[in-house]
Amino acid sequence: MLDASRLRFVDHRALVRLAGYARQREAVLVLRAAGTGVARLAALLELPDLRVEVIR
Amino acid sequence: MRTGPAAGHSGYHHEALCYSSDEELLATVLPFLLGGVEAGEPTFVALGERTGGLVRSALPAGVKVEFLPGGDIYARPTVAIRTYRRLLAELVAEGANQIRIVGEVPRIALGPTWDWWARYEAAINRAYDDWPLWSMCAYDTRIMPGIVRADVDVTHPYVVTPDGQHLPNPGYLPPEAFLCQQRPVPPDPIQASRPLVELTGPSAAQARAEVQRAGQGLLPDDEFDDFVVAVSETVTNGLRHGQPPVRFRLWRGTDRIVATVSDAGPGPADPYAGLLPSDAAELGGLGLWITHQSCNHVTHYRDADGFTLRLTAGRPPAG
Repeated sequence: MLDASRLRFVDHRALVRLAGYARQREAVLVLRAAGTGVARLAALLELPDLRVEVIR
Repeated sequence: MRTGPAAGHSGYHHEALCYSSDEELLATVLPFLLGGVEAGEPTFVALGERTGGLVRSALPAGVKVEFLPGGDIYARPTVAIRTYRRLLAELVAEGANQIRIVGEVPRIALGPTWDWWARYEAAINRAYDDWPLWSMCAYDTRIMPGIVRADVDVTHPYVVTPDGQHLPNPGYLPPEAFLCQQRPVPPDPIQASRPLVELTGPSAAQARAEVQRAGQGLLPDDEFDDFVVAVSETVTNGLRHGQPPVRFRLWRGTDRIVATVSDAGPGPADPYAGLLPSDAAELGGLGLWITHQSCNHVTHYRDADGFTLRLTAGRPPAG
């Protein structure tokens, strides 16, 4: 679990890296983010090793 | 075993159907759909409300033709590509030997945003070629501008004539040849005014901050956030893969925000850049693809000063 709820912006490179980090460890990384934009971006990228939880 | 003109063909059979009356549309589309049902092939209609209604009411009751929400699928070219690729992969995994689809881009796409739909029509010759798809792209010649007709005539390798003949198109241009052409890109009328923001060599964070400051409150939150992502990806690409100076300009109108990002380089070498996700992420292809998913229009041009990408959020001009 990674709390990124105070980050104002995450780009696709960061998400791809985080998913790669999780994949190497055969885990699913849960990213807590504020706003739905990160979730939409992650869904576009279809990263099975990364799950975004939106904190409202 | 595939049926119809695509029999013996292994990939995508992409036909243009240019019709001049509702009767011509139905005379061509109904046999196409009923033939698919008879052959046990998954058969779909992705037309607009009016034409879809015409077809629906002309089909026999209970026939196994599925109607897709044409307006949603054709919201953006990249949305259509993503949706269809997923659908085709699922159907083939379930055992389909051929899939039939008749579709049409929405009427609004025939206006100032046509250029990215023209690129779509070219790119899908590759994007759907992994699957046994036979599709008809329907165009009403009564409302079809000349530039649209010219592009349709070179992006479809096959045509279906109003009397139902399925023929190769001798004017077809392979997608790479079409996509590498330099097209005139008329400026958005909003660009006649002075930009609200003009920066040379901004960081992606600076560009994002300017968009946040200048564009806040104009668009729904999700749409605005996606535009911020698109600007950020585009500026990052310019800085990483373009040649300096990178210039960022932003305009705000009553119903849209327009940004341009220019650099002195030649732009991406991949003719499919933006339309298909690139495996070569280090070349910026994924960022450009995300940009095409996140804006209501994206276009680009090259001139003596280099390469420019123009992004529009909100409502693009209707023409």
